[in-house]
Amino acid sequence: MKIATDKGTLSQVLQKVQAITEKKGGMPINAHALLRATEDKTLEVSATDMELSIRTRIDVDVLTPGETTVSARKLLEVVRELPREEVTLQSELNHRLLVQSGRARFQLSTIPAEDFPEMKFYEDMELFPFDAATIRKCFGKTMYGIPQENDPFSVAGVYCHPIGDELLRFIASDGHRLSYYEVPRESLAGLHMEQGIVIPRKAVQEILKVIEKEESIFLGLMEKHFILKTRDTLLSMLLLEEEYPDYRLIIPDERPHSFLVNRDDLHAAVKRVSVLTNTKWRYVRLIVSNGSLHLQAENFELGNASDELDIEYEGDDFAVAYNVRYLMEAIQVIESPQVCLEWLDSHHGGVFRDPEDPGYVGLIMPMVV
Amino acid sequence: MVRRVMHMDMDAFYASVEQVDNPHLKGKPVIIGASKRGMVSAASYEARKYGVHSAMPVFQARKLCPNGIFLPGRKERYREISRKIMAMLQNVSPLVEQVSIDEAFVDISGTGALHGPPGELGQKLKARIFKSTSLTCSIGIAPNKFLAKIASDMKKPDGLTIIEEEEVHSMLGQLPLSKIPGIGTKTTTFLERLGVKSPADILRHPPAFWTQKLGKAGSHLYRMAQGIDHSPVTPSPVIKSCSAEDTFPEDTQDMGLVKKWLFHQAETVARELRHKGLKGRTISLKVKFRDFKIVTRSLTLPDPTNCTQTIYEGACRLLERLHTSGKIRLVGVGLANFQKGPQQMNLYSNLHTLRSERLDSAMDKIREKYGDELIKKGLIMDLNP
Repeated sequence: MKIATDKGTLSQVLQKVQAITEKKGGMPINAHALLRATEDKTLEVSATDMELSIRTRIDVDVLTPGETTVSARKLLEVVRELPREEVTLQSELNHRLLVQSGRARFQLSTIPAEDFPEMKFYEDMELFPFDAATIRKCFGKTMYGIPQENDPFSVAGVYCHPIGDELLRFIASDGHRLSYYEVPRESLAGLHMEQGIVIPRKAVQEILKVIEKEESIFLGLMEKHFILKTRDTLLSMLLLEEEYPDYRLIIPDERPHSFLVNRDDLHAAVKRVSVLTNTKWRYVRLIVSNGSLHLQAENFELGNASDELDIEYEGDDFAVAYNVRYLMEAIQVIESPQVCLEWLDSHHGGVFRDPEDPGYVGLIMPMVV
Repeated sequence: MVRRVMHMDMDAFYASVEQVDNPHLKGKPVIIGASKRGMVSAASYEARKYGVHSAMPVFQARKLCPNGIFLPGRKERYREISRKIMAMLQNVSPLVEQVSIDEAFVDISGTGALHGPPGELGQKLKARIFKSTSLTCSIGIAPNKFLAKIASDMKKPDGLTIIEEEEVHSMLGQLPLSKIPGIGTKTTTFLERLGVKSPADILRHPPAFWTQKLGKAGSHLYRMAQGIDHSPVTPSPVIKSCSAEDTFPEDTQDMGLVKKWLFHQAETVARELRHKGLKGRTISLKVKFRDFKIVTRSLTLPDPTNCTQTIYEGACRLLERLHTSGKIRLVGVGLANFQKGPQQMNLYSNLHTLRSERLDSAMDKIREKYGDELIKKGLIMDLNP
């Protein structure tokens, strides 16, 4: 195999596949990307961790068609450091890949392409076109709620399930908070599902990366796999087979109290008082009274902070404390000028909504202070 | 200001509590530790005459002292009395470092104006403890922790020993090595081979000699021989974990029985933590098999707990995951990874947990008022720990 291309294109494509090779405890081959140069001026780059597989392509000058595998991470690091735009990759004897640019030469160890695991992309399957912006919202507005650690008590993925015949809902929850985004089923028509599916965390991150600059994409479901296709990339994702907890009971149906507040002001005020929070003292107290929202952060070690915002609210006084990170993340995904906070009482989760986008709900359980 | 540290050590604590609570045991050899294969956790002075001491296997103690009264011990009662005594120490100085259930250091530097000279303070404190609990203790007062501990051991039981700065060298010089805290049998043997029998002998060699022989421990040894110890009295050292374990009367494969023990231990641990107002996230299980092989496993919960049922269920899950078939000799349950301060509420903390927590607090209250034996979970009705 011998190809010539430019540094920018090559590093971009390697960035797309690199995250998939970062799994701990995998076999050495799983850290490798499969490079395949074909006669039609194409370099295909693939990677898999056996659960999540990607195949993407770029246009290059193919001098000799062929294939090999090389450490995705090392190749990306090498390419980033190259002195010139022009790069050539060339298979050598003794299982080496020669990377050349200007007078810089790197010879990287390879593993033969025959040893690369088989990836299932179900290419004969019928895929349906979707609006990439909608998919970006479904995952982008919920992803923050996926559990951070490998927590055996919650499901580390986005749960997607139909609500009646009308809606499709995407949910993430880590046991302390929950976020969902729902869209009319017709906007995702073609994605047939009777029950819910759970798309694992890493797959969600990869989807968002792959569709970042796309307008239209293709999706399909097959044999526990979720398939996504763009102009140049194919993603195959093994779904999580875990039962999702019945989260619906914990969203209070009745939320008699609410107010609207300017999103940017709220975000800035929370960020401001959060300077005095730390890993031990991580809550911000919201004190709601007629016409005003008072924010307080207390920290026995550092001191305390407060700020106040004008809101349109008339009703009983209400005070609640939330983890500051959860609060920021729930607000951050709201794109409208205003945020709506709704609640039942201080024992139930507070609900953050986007008044201009009814699809989004962010629920945070309070902290007992 | 002259530094003065007091070390208070209760005399044969568990055994003495039993003798106070049951007057017919007075003057008799009482030994705490009754399980066939367990260890002695305390021996009254009458029993010590027979050569019985704590950390000795029970069967050996029975051989040495066939007429001894062997009791299983009542940890909760001992803790209750311990709390009372520790509270009295808190009245002397806020700098109290509790070392174990019956032992503590108190930094009494500069308390002269308040409590009088150290000798007087020691006498008053001993009298106060005796009046409130009918128990005796031994107190040592010295310029640092290390010497205070040596001092409290000098006239046991019911002793009071004060070491003044200028007496340190003459006192320490001829002390047998075995009386020095931190020098175990291994080091003693090693030192004896070098012809060293007392701290004075240690000082005959330069510090470099000891660092070369024993490394870091060598320089520590040299400092001890001079009676130097700068370690501060640290009030309420942060508790990092809490655990309970039991050796069974007989090795067993009966998982139902093992789980009963786990429940008993989960309850002991959970109660202690509820009393201290602590909640932990990491539950650990320790299993010792018939061949003395020890296995430990742990799991971390999303939220901290001190609920008996939650800890019990966690321990059971760990036990089941072991897939063990061998006979088990001992099990233990522990909780660690404590979190204080504001608590995050959980989305799914269901009715089940809330109910268990309410049950815990109700049982705690009943036991506090009417004693431990009045109420017990059905699961461990037939268990006699």
